[in-house]
Amino acid sequence: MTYPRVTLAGYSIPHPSLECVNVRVQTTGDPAREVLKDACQELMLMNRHVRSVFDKDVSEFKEEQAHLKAEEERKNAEEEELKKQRDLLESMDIESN
Amino acid sequence: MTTKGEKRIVSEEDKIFAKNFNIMDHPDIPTGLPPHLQLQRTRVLCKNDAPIHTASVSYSGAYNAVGVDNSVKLENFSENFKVDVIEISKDGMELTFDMIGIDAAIANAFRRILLAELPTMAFEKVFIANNTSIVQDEVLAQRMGLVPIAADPKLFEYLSENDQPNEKNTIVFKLHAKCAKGEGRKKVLTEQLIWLPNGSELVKESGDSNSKPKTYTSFSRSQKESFPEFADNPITPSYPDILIAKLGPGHEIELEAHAVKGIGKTHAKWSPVATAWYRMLPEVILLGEVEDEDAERLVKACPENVFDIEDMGNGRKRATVARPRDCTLCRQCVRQNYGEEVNKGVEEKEWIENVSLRRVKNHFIFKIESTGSLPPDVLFTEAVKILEDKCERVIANLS
Repeated sequence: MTYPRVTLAGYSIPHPSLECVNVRVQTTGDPAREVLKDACQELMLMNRHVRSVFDKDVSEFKEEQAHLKAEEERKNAEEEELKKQRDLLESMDIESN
Repeated sequence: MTTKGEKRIVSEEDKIFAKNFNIMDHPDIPTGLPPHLQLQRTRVLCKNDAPIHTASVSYSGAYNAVGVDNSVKLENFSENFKVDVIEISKDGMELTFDMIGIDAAIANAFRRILLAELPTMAFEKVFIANNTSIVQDEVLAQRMGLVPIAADPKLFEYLSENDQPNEKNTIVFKLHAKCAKGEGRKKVLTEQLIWLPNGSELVKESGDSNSKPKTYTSFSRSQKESFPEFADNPITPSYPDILIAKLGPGHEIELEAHAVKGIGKTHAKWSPVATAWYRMLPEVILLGEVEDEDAERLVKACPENVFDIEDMGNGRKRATVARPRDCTLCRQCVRQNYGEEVNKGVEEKEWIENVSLRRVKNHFIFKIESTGSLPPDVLFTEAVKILEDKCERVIANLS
């Protein structure tokens, strides 16, 4: 319906047990078959675009997550190092005292 | 001002100016839709009793009178379409993402395909050799069918009625659980299912005792050879701790289960998602100032903490919308007296008018929870591919 060449578009399912859909397309002069085909073609292109954008975003997100995780692990490793050093100093203090 | 009768000399410049003049180009004339129509077109207003403006305005010539084109062109769509991944759960099986700029019909199509038309592997035939437990054969078989299997369905083919089950279309598992007399009750979990890469071990009885014993499947090669992915990682159910049955002392279950490829339309056991749903982005607008005491009550009323208090200076406070995304449309903020108990003698307020709850029509927050066969982002990509294939089929049949 959002297609500028279409004046009316609708579908009906005569009975839910039968696998049959009646589609009605009314156009502003062009043959309805061609308009339906063009609309399906555009839908296909839209889907491809959706897929590419989605894939790109998911891979970006996963990269970000990997970065964040690597940074967190680095920070944890640093903290552990600091802790070890502190413990060592404390034990040295106790010994000297 | 020229009076009637006087001739006015029209220069060439004036003629060119008159030809190219379009009132809509004038800077003071507003272009696009008037704000109230734009609101109707892009937002669902969730009023106190029911939502309004829920249908999308689909007709391409709907706003021709105002000079606005309502058709959906591929270039506009490609420019405005955005995807934002919000969250992937730790085990990678739950995905939350935003889709902006897409029509509700297509978002719903993706959801329906995710639920019903993506193939998976699930147990279809269960050969029960021995079952002395209290769980009946058919109930046991039904429970086996619902167990999710972590195998990529793209590697396998469909098994039709006339085909022989072979290594390309069947996965065979064995289960043998026993509870000895004198022991306590035992649980039968999915981790006790053992994969048989060489096919069925149950022998078919045939009158011919000279020929090689036939089993219920005809595997020509081990699946470990045909599928290099499974050479080192055996196929297992997605979760090892699903309870299948319980055995008392002296009970035994011995069975073989064959898994085949199917889609959710035939039976829900073949649905690759635990569930997939979407909601539209909520928008909460304060139509007027909410100050002081009212602001406090508004902030307290919302169970999702959508509102916040802001200091205006002079000791006065104001309510602002801080997290509209968390709004669950419980409508506590618009209820009479903010949903608090009304004390006798205190004036009862009408429905609160200065909070407007809305939904953005083309912004969807999708959540996909996979059962384990494929990660949710792969599932969504497959769903989009399936819609593309359907379009292709229609085009092919129309030609």
